Amino acid sequence: MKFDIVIIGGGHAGAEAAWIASQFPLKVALISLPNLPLGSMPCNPSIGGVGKGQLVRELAVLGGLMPEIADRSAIQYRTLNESKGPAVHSTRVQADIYIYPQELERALLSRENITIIRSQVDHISKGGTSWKITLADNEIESTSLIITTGTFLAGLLHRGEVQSAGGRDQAMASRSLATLFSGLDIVGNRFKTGTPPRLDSRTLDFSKFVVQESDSLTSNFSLHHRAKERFVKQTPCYLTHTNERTLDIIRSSRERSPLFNGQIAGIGPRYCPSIEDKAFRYPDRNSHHVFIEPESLTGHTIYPNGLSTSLPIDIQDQFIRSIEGLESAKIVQYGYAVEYDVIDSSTLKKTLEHKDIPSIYFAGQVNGSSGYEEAAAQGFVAGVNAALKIVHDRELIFSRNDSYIGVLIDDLTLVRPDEPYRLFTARCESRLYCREDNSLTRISPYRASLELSTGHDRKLRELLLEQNLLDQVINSYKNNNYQVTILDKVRDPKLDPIAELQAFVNDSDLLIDERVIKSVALSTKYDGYIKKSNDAFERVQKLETKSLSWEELLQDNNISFECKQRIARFRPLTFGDLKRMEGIRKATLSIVAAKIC
Amino acid sequence: MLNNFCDTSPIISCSSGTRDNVALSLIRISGCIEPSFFTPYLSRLPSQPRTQVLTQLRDPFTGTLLDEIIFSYFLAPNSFTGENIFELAVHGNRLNVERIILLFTEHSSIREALPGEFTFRAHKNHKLTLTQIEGLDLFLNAQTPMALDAGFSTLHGDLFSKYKSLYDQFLNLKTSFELWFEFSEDAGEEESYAVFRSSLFKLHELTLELYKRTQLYSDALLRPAITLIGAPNSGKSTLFNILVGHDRSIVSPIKGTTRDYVTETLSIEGIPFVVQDTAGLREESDDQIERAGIERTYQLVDRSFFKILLINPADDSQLINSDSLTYDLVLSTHGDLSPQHSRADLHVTFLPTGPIGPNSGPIGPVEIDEKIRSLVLNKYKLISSGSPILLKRHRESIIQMHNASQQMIQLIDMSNDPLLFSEFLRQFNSSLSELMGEIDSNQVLDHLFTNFCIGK
Repeated sequence: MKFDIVIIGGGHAGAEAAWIASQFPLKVALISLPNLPLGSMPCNPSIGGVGKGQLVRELAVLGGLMPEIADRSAIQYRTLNESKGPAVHSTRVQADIYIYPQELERALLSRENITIIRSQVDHISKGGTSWKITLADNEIESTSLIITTGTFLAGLLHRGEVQSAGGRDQAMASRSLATLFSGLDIVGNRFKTGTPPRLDSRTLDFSKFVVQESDSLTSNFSLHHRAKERFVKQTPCYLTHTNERTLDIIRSSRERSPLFNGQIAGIGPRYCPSIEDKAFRYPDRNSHHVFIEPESLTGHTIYPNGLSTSLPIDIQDQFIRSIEGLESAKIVQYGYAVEYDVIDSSTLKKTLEHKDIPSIYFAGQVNGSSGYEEAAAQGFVAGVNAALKIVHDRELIFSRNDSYIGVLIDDLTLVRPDEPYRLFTARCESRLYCREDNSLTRISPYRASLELSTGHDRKLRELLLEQNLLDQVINSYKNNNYQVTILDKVRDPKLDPIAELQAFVNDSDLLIDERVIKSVALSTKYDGYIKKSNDAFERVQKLETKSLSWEELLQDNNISFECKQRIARFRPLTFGDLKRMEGIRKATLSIVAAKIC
Repeated sequence: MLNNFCDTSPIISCSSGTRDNVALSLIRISGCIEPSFFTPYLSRLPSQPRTQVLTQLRDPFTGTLLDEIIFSYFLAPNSFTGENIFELAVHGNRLNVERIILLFTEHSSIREALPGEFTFRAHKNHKLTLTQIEGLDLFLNAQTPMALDAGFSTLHGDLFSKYKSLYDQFLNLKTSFELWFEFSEDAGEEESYAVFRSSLFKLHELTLELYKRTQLYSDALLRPAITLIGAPNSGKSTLFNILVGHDRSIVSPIKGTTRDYVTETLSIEGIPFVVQDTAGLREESDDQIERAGIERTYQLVDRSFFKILLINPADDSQLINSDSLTYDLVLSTHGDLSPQHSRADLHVTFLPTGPIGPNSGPIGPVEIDEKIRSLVLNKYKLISSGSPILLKRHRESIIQMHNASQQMIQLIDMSNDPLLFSEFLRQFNSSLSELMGEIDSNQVLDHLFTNFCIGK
């Protein structure tokens, strides 16, 4: 069988890649291990958050899959940064671990040009202009290949002294990349991540927890859903804390901790520490938050957020039961750590295509990122670029100046991450402009450039028309010296800009989507600051966007040998690329700046 | 200089100057050569770095004994430039120094250093920041003891450590901002806001302290000038001559005698001041040269350290508009006025104007001289005790940082809009980066994860 695009790995990156590729007239296949749900949530079943929420909103404008499925499976909504003003509100939902994969599979199956294949890949080889993928009992061919194997490459699980091969609990590992592509040296690093034990909700004392209800005012991710529409029943989450006894138990088990006795060599994320990390690295703290999160509406498993661990199971039992409300908790699945191979992401272009091996793309955790949202965003970038290359022979590159996707891709391809990469808003230079509310303004040009005309594209045009209309109407009140205009009200720091504009729209009998109102209100409010920041940015940007020839730099006698080695590896295309590369000397930057100015 | 970024060939120069014959001169060599290089040149070598030996310097090619010198060396990276440094203390005859330098440059890869190249290498090897280099420059070229102190303070002392704590505190602020903005769920909304708030106030305090030091007459202090201003024939030149002690200015009763301005150096307790006698300030003058002189006077006055206004009460035509200027001292001249006056009978009255307290009664020339000297010195001491920041580039950066931090302080009481904070943080960072280098997001995240227990 011959396909245009074959995706190996049915997680969030793979599903997103298949979804966008299938919007083009192409034959797409998605290969996933048997007996594993597609788009499953082996760790915390939540989507969104500060920074990550931006990615999901951007995917929503791009016509991605994650925003649709997240809304349909959300059992709890939260607005983060609620007290800090609407411009920095961040959306996060808890998804039902059973509904999410069901809805996702249903969506993918609804596409006639997607074939889902359940099999382990034995090996991959290049035959003429196409790729040959040898499966357990079959062989298929494809023009392009997208690798989205997550933590499954040479995966190794740790639970105390017990180690086993696998990409996650009760699932086999994929073959190593080295086996998949013999003779190709692309493994960059070995990372580690972990997950907490799961608890049986029927054994917890909920009366001892603080209750956190779902927020009925939080706006959905997808533009196709009404802002406050809810698809399934909402359920509360709860809060409890570790105490000195919990930490004493952990601290006295140092010798048996794979993280601290040298058993685990992989590098874990510092922003998502295990409970043993917290106990040993912050000896002064005697209590930490533990969020008690139901994983589904139908099952009885609880995700105790904050207790990621790879300690032996007898210690897990002990420390869990030292926590208030968990005194008689039954663990249904013990926590574990997983070590896995990641590729050197600096070998990838900004389309996520390999620099030296055309028509092969890498996306998701295999690139050294962490998180479902980061994976999905990369899946989109790889999928859309694989499709565009075949259909139009062109690329879609996201800029870090107007999108968090751009920040993510830039960072991954220019600075080889030394720990699993998570998107923080601190990584974005134009935080003032890259907000959740104005994703339509920022991202719709990218979608338009795909030249598709689906229902999604019609919806975007509709919203953009409403936005332009509202913009024009409120700006027509400019230059009025005699009374306070709507512009003045929206910009008044003492007033709520969204409420003011909403009232104005109601009075004017305009019919405008509330998300458009929010975006226009906040964009108007921050207009002046954004301009100022842009001016400063543009001065820097002038130099940043200057293109350069890395081949020429390699010939330059004034550039040191080490810098040349890095230039040869990262192959920067602009001065900005060069500047953000790891280990480039200031002197080299000065020489190059002098050359290209 | 750009072409020398990657040039690491050893360099030599005489660090103690070559203008005169002196007892001792210090020749320094910096670069990638080993101590054994000197074996053919010296009768003995020190057994370890940072030890001096008395040794004979010989031309190994002719065998001629050139000089008896003190030799020592410092190994990379523990040296001024961060490279190997060799120091030869030689007899300071100019020809001797030249001959020794030639000995090394003719027969080896050592070349003569370009001006500033030692410092440049120190910068390149991260031994000195740009800010410190400016301090070094100020230190080496200081004209006044104050500039000397300010230079050293920028190079290694108090000011540099102030800049460093400003940098550290800004990193703290950025970190606590991210903690509050992005991780408040993990760290607690109120706790993280409290951390953010207190680091903002700490930063503001530091910035304010530096800002105050930029507001102290700094321009006028590098080469402090005492300027005499007044209407034509108010006696400026006479006072000038009293102060500097000889007839440099032409003194005559004809108005407008001093057409341009004349300057002399006046040393008060070892501090060199410039005394400037200006063209008389007259509303109208037909003389083009005199008009140009008057214009220049206003510019001079503006930049002066100590401004003295002289008024001749007998001449009612000389009421000048002095609204735009503030004076340190106003003198009423011709206190004992007779039409035919001379320098010896310039009696003045100190008028109650300016920052100095009133002083009644006319006094004579000797007292005038003493009085003015002590007033100038007092002002100088008063200002220099506040350790003013003399470098213009630093003052500009500090003023911008102060503006940004002031905006944040105002904002924190009005609202807690993190987007506006982040805009002012960006402005602060961009000014700070000109002084102490950039703080990037990876540094902030590193600092964050090291100091706060983040993550669920």
